[in-house]
Amino acid sequence: MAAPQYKQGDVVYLYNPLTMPKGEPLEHPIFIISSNTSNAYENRYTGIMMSATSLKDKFSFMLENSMFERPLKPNSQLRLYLVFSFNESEIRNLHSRVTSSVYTKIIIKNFTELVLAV
Amino acid sequence: MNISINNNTINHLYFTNSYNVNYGATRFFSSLKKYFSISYLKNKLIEYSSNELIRLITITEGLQNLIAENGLTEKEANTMLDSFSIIIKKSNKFFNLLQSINFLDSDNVQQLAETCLITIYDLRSQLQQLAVATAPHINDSELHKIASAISLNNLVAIQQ
Repeated sequence: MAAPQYKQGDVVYLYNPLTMPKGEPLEHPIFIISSNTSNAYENRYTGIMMSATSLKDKFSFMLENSMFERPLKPNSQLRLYLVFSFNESEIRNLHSRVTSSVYTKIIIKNFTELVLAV
Repeated sequence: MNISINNNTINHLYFTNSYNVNYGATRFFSSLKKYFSISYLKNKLIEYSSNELIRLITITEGLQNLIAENGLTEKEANTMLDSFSIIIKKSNKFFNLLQSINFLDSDNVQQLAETCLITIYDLRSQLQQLAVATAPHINDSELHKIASAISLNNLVAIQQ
């Protein structure tokens, strides 16, 4: 199996089967939380859904542009409880990457404490 | 350890928020080099950065304990959370700065800088949980639909 193209801490866009009423694609970025070892196992990733709708709730993690190599949409947040897995073939493109693995550690720590509660 | 120390180092560490950065930093660094060796300056800057990080960690942990012991109303937590976004921005900037000038090649600084940032985000999380303690649940139905559609698409692809 080919080496995975994407890494833990990447923000990617997936091919999205949903479209807006006028036919334009409905885009939503995903943040990859799975480890690089896990990603390489079957080129399958686990990601957290992102949104640019600003909410103050228990499970939204506010993101800052300074955490990423390329800026995100304004008010970008992670919905920590919306996690799912996908194949590499479903990824349309890489949008951005964390500037340091410490930001991934922080996000995973919040995910673990709030969603898994361990 | 591969720490680069040059005009930019001084520039970043001491004049990050100054508008008169380049001219001042270059002159300042030239003056410092007359009196101190590069290795001495390097060691001192690491020492100062480490002390600053330890100070930030201590303050942040102190605030966490203070809030845990005394509690905050939702309104108070919301106000603090809003102003805390500035601290997060500055902390990220400081961390990225240490990384950009290779200060994090020093294991000790790396560990302190990471602990510092993690502790600051922990405090933000603590404030956030207090700020939304009784907030009504908001269903992000659009994201649910997208997640379901992608999963369904995935399932169809697997079956084909």
